[in-house]
Amino acid sequence: MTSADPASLADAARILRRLADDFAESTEALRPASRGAIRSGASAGTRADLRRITAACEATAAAVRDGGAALHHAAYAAADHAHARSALADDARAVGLAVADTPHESTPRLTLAPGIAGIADPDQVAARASVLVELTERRRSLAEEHRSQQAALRDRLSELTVTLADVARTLR
Amino acid sequence: MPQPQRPLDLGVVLDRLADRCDVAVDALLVTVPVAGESQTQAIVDGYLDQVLDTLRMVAAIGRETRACLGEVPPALPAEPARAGGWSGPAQWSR
Repeated sequence: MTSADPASLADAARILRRLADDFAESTEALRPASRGAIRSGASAGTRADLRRITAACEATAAAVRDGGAALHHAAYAAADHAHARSALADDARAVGLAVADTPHESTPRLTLAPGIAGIADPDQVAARASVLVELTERRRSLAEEHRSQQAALRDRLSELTVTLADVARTLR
Repeated sequence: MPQPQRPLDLGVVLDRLADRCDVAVDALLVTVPVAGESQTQAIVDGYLDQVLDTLRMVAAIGRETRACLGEVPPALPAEPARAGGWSGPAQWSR
C-alpha cells in the first residue's frame, strides 16, 4: 500500500469542481435552445441533439461536482490520518514501545521493546503493558476509521462512474 | 421581455463547451491523484477515466451539432479570470 497524497487529491478535486462550474454555466446557456425557445432553422434532429447535450451537461456537472467533493473530503481525511498516525507513533516511542511504521500498513505496529525488562520493578512492567493496550486500541480505532473513509470514497466514486457511463451512453 | 437566443449565440455556446471539454481533458490527464490503497486507487482511476470519456463525447457531439447550425462563430469573448483558479499547463477557459 502507498500512502495517500492529500495534495494530489485536492488538486484533482479543484479541477473537477471548476469543471462542474463550467458545465453548469453551459447548461444554463443551452437550456433555452433545448426547450425550443430559439428562432433558428435548426432541424428536429439538431434540436434533439441540443436536448441531449443539455441533459448530459447537467448530469455531468452534478457527477463531477460530487466527485470533486468526495476527493476533497478524501484529501482532508488523508492529511488527518497521516497526522494521527504520526502522533500515535510519537506517543508510543515516548513511553518506550517499539514502533514499526511501514508504508505497507495504514497504522504503525506497536510492541513492547525487546530486551530484559524490569523483573525487579513489576509496577513499571505493568504500566508499560497498560499503555501498550491503550495505544493498540487507538491504533485499531485509527485503522478502522481509515478503512471506513476509503470504503466511502470507493462507494461514492463507483456510483458516479456508473452515472457518467450512462451519460456517455446517451451521447453515442 | 428577454430576447430569444439567436443561432449565432448558440454556436458560441457549443464552441465554448467543446473547448472547455478539451481543456479539462488536458488538465485531468496531467493530474495524478494518489489515493493510497490499491483498490481505492483503481476506483479513483476508473472514475477519472470515465470523466475523460464523457468529456470527449460531449465535445464531439457539441462540435457535430455546432456544424449543423451552419454559422461561422465570431471570436469568443474573453471570460473573466477566476479567483484561485487553475494554474496548470493549459488555460482553462478560452
